[in-house]
Amino acid sequence: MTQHINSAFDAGLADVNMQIAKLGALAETQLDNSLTALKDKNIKKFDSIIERDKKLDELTAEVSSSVFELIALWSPIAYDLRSLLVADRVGAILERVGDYSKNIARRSQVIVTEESFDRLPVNIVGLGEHVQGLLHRSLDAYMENDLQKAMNIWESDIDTDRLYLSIFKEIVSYMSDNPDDAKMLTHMIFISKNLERVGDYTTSIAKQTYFLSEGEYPDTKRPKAMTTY
Amino acid sequence: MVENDTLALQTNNVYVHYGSKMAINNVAVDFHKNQVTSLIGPSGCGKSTFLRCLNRMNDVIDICKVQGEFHLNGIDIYGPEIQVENLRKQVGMVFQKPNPFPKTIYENVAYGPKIHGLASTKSELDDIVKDTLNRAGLYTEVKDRLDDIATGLSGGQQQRLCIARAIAIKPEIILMDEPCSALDPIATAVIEELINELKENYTIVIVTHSMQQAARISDKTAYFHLGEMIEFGITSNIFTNPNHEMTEAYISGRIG
Repeated sequence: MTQHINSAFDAGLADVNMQIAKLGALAETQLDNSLTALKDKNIKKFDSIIERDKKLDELTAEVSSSVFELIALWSPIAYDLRSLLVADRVGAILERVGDYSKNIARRSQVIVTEESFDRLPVNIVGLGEHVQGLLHRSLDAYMENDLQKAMNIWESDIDTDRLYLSIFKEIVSYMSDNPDDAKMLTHMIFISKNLERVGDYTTSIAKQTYFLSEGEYPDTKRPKAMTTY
Repeated sequence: MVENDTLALQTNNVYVHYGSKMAINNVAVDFHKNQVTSLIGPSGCGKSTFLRCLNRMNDVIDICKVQGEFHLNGIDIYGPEIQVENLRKQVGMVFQKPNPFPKTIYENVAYGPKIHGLASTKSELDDIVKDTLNRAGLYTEVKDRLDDIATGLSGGQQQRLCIARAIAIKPEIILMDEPCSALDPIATAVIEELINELKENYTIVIVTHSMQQAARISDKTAYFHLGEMIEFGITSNIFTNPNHEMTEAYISGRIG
């Protein structure tokens, strides 16, 4: 795509892209920190993760405000309009990813001190690392406007579903044998579900990337492994 | 309904030269009844030249040579049996700058019907003037001063009077060459609303430099560049997801 004749609009678009890049980096850091703190049982780190979520909310509001201003002042159309609409939507998605990371930190705070926590065979961190990879790749696809990368993400959500289902079954099975751990296990189900939802959001970023590039949404249904269990 | 049944004006293989300079190069556009079609493109792209071919306004330019097919309801408008005055009764024109006659408001509207014999009595003529001014959304504003000189109206009112003058002789097609370029945003909005109402009864072809105006008012849009028609399609598609990168560059204000 060539430059605009009016460079001020290009500068505005570049600012929005920079804001999204910052937001994406912070969302990735928040998710990484919450998983690392869970793995390391680092109680001190959870509070800082919860506190830092405000920064994500602020950055999301900045993106929305910039997008609103550019639309109002420049009346963009076609690709330009799509790029601003998509930036606003990706901003909202990253804000939700931050909310899930915060929720993971809150729940982890409760469970890591439980005596039976270490005995659990459940690989939540494995699911988390898988989702982290998806988040990183989906943001790359969006920032590079790479349709192929986006479609790969779109199609890989089935792996997230499978991992989540496997963890869910493990926890339910463990819960029937260890009813005293029900509270901790319920938190673990929620943490896993949060990660599965982050996985869903990475496909939303991929879907928005497709829309940005093609001007329409992918007409294939996203492959899913989820059934009510 | 077969789409061809709705055709008002069909053009094909259109070439226009000014002397040795080619202004239009192999353009084909179909204009459908009761639709607004916008012609957009940078200055000098040929959109106004093409518009002026549609009622043979280029005939008066000696060095201008028009070739191609122009069929109004299936009849060749450049055919030897065609009388240009009758063609222009069927295909009216509204220009960039409001150009009312230096006569009264009443006379501006009554002139066309009178010379084309559309009224046989003064009472019939009065009815035509009133009805036409109503259609142009102007009657309420001028009904008490029909005998005032038209040039005393505001720019927007003058342009609506020119639209009234064009529709008074009951054309099928109205050509508009940047009809709002000299008007403020409120007068522009009034004209745009009028165009939206007029398309119930007329087919409208409009040249505009305002992308937003083309997007707001037209059903179809044609993008011209250096005498060629680069893209023609449904307006919402052109402005959300054009097929051609040159269209995208133009409507987005990019360096093409």
